[in-house]
Amino acid sequence: MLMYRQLLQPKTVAEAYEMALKFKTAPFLAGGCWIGLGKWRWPSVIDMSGLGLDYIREEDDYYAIGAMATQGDVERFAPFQTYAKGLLVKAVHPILGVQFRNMATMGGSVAARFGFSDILPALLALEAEVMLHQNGVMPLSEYMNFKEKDVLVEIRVPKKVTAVAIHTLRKSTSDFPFLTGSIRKDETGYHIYIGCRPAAVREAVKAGKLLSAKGITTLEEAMATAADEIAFQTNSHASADYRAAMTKVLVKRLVQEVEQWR
Amino acid sequence: MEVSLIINGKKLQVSVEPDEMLLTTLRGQGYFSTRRGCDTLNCGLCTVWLDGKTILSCSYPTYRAAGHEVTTLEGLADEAALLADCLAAEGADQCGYCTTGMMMSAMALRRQNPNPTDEEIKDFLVGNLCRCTGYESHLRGIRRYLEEVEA
Repeated sequence: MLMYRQLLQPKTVAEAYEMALKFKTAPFLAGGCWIGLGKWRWPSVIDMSGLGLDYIREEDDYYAIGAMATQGDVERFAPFQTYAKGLLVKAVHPILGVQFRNMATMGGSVAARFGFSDILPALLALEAEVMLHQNGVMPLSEYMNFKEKDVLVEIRVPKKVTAVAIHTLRKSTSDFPFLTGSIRKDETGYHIYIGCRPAAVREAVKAGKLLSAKGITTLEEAMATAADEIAFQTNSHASADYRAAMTKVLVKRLVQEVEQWR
Repeated sequence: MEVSLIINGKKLQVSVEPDEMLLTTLRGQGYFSTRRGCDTLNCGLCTVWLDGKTILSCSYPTYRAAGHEVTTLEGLADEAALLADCLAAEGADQCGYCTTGMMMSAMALRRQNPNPTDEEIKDFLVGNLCRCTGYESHLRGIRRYLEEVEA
């Protein structure tokens, strides 16, 4: 259970950022969905709920998802039902139950860069960007390794239509996945992302380059390459060997699906 | 900290700790239909509505509910009685511990989708766990409730 003595309630993103610099150990409290996991004790937390970031908007070139918009908001946002064949809805829908998705925020998932995230592979395939208070807009792929303290304001999903697909593997409905994958096929070729290794999602660069250069006749080779180039570990959900073996299956399914994209 | 809540349409001023969760506050105010189960967002026992959407009150800080409409089973008593009868008639009330959370979800489902398929019912209730019944009796009970409300 999360325990804290002081609740810091900024009214603006700038104020939240200042608080984060001042109270160096204070975490941001977004959806709070991991409150019950572990015995957390902090002197203070920075509450994100008063910043007005619980929006999803359609802009000219992109969809803006405020950091405090919930997974449920994404599921209900009408344009996402059809955008990229409903990829984002497909990504959030298997996450636990309805109640959980009405609480879990998109910003929380992205900022924490959870290894088990269903959302990050989908957003990477869609070439999403993040807008940070201090560091401005940057590609999500860059943000995955970004270490500076900053406030995630919104996630931007470009409107361009590209062939994309996601697949996840889980032991049972509503469980965490033990492997996630996504793919994008665009003018630059194939881009394959593998998550839940169980560490955070990574691009299988060599496998993507192989497919881009030689086409899907090299699919078997690309499957093995992806399984070989990504580092896997063992946890309670699956062993490293099993993850590697199933990565081949995942890559095959992703490539087959994206090839049928019309 | 002082928080103004609206619970089942009634305004309430409560004094809570900054890290108090809504479940604790509700039970402290006598809303005992909202039950404590896993405390880790898994079981669905603590399901309440916040502005009509189902949430898990075990992990929802009370201060965040200020200015929002909180609904518990006590606020839906008549409809809940009908649903409880339907669940009981179909044998979905063995130990009964999951029942109140399950009912909050089922009644929310009816508002969002009055004519769900069996798959849609199952999908909506994924966040409510039952260790007794295997869910088939819940499915029958909820189907019966939806039909009776429709009738």
